[in-house]
Amino acid sequence: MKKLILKFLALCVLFVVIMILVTMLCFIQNKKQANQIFLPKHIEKIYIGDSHIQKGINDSLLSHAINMGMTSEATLFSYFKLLKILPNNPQIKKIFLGFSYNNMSQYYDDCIFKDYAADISTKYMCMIPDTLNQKIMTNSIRKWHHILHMLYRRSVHNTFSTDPTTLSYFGAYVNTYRHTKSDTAIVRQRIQDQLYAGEQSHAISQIQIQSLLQIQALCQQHHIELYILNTPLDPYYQSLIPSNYVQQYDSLMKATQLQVIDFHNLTFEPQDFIPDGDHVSVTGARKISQYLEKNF
Amino acid sequence: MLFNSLEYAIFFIAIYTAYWWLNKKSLVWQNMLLLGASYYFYSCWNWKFLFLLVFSTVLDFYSGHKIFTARTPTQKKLWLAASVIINLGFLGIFKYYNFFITSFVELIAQFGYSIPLWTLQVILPVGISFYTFHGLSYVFDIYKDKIKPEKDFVIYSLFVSFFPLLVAGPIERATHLLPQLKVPRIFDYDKSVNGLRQILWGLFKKVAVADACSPYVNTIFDSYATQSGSTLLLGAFLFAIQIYCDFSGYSDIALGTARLMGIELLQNFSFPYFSRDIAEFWRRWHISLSSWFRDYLYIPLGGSKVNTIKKIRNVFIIFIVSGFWHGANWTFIIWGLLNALYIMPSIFLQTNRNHLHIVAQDSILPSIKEFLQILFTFLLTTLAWIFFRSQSVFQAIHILHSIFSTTFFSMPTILPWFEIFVALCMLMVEWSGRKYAFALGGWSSDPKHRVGRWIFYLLLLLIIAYYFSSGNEFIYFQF
Repeated sequence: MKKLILKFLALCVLFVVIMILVTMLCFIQNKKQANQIFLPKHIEKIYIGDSHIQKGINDSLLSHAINMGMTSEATLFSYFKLLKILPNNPQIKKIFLGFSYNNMSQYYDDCIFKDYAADISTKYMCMIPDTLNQKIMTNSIRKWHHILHMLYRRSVHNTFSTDPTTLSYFGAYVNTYRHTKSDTAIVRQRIQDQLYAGEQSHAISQIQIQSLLQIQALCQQHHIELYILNTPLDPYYQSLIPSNYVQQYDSLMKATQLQVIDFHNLTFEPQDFIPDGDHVSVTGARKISQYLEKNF
Repeated sequence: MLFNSLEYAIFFIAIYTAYWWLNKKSLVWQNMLLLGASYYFYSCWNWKFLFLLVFSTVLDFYSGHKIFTARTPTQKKLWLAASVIINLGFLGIFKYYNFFITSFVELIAQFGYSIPLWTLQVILPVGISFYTFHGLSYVFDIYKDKIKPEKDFVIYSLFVSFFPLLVAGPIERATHLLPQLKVPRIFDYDKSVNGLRQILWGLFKKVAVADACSPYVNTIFDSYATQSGSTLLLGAFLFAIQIYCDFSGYSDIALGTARLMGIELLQNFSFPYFSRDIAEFWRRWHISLSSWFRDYLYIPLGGSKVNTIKKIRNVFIIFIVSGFWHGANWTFIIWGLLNALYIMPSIFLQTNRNHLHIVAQDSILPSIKEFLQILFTFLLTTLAWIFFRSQSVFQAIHILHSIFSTTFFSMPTILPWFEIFVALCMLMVEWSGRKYAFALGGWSSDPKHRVGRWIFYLLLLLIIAYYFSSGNEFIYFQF
């Protein structure tokens, strides 16, 4: 039995070593790859942000535009994506950044550094500075095996991706919600998860605000128009947003003089939302996309 | 706790260590450990249903003794009937009650009457179909004087609840497993290595093939109304691969795990997709269930030793019951019916036992005739799987209608090349090992080929790690 255990352990150790080696090699390749993303020449508008953009902007209805939204993408990561993409793509004229009330929540800091780091941050690790990677790793040290596993998956995936749009951090329009409407229980849960820490509302994330300002500066540097998209919310969801969030959001937009598109002149029906009330359904996405195509 | 999870790996390493440590001390304690581990394993799903499992165990243990000690044949029959009714009663309540009541209310509504729908809001206890059949085979075998009742309750409980087979089989027989639980287990290096290989191969099939195909299958079947015929056929092919790899992967892990503990379980799959006709397919697919139905249903009905009409009746009964065993939905019944229809020509022509041995036994490749037979059988089973996978009969018919339409002659809109490539590689490895109990079953421990073997193991592990995602359940858990 000793022989069996020793051989089994040897195989396990060898496997972990090879897995780390493969991850490292792929990661180095991914870093180079991230500096060489060339979008098609006709793409002049980028829609970027979290799931609000991912679900809300149907880029097949838009001309010269691409949706690069991804679930739970922190504005920090959107900044680094743009930082990599803009120098190689001078044809870009407009950027539409998804930034809603929930994007100001410290919940996004957890997405970057804590609870969801393995699932979310590993998508972007090959395109963010090493100091930030170290910080993510240090903060999630208790979940090192999960981080290593996800990093291995992402790195191998990116290495074998021939199309940049399939890269782990690229993003795309994804929405499968048809014939849905908001559900009050799910809305409450959603609000609780994203905007509250127990009884108190989450603090405002300085990382998110800082990243927004960095994106603004980056766009100015590249002479690109920046629009902020505050995607529509179900009225019940909207009524539950903590008032300090609304106030801070409004004052931030005023202070930065950013152009906000909040779709207030569009009418949305119950079926235009998905059960969490925070995102639009396929029909809602169609309304938003058609509006943007017509006006921007 | 799933086989494909880190929790299970830790659980198994702990049990394995304690198990072989106890081997030198006491068989009783070793069996107690396995029983405790099995109950813990089961309670990880829902501890409340553990009472049901224990009740079912006590019931069959007690009725087995009563059947054996009954003085008259009538008493024997009564005890058997009591056991069967209670066992199937539980199965009926948890698995079939809602189906029957809903179908009845719908039927009544056809005649313009309306009655209130009294459905049960209960979840199906995991593995109920499997452990109920374990227990039933035990009482049937005692009734037929094939075995004597087990005196040791711990050993009997372990036979019903042994954790590798508890939730999705193979459906063991008392004649096969009970004797193994009564004797001290001997550690065998070669068998243990073989067990580890089988676990690795099972994990590969589950994680790298079945789970990798799953999102594509789900997308295609969920959006069936908007998909082309070619995409739907590809979805059906992918599901055929998915269900095979999911279930046979589970069986491989179960068999390998038991072998590591010195226990041999019944073979559940024997390369069914290399079958040359449907009869052969059913001798190779979910063997423990097929043989259960054969021994306890088909043969008591007269089997094939009756006139043609009764033979046809028996075949239809066995396939419909088999379909219904899988789930309370008309889709499963039609799946069973279709398979019964498929097998009919070979029953009439008496060719159903033409292919008892594996294809191309003495050659590397099959002949063109054999290849075409395999392809045709695979196509037939795939078409039947459409009913198995669909949510409703309407959906299945819609999919079949789309497949046999002009949209079949277009490129599939979903084409997962890499997953198809991995599935083909899996089939090639299975082909190369088709003469053995599992694909890697014929591998020796010859030191000359050690490097090649280890490279292969590492490659499998790297692919498994790539696709690994904790929490992907096995399809057969729902049955």
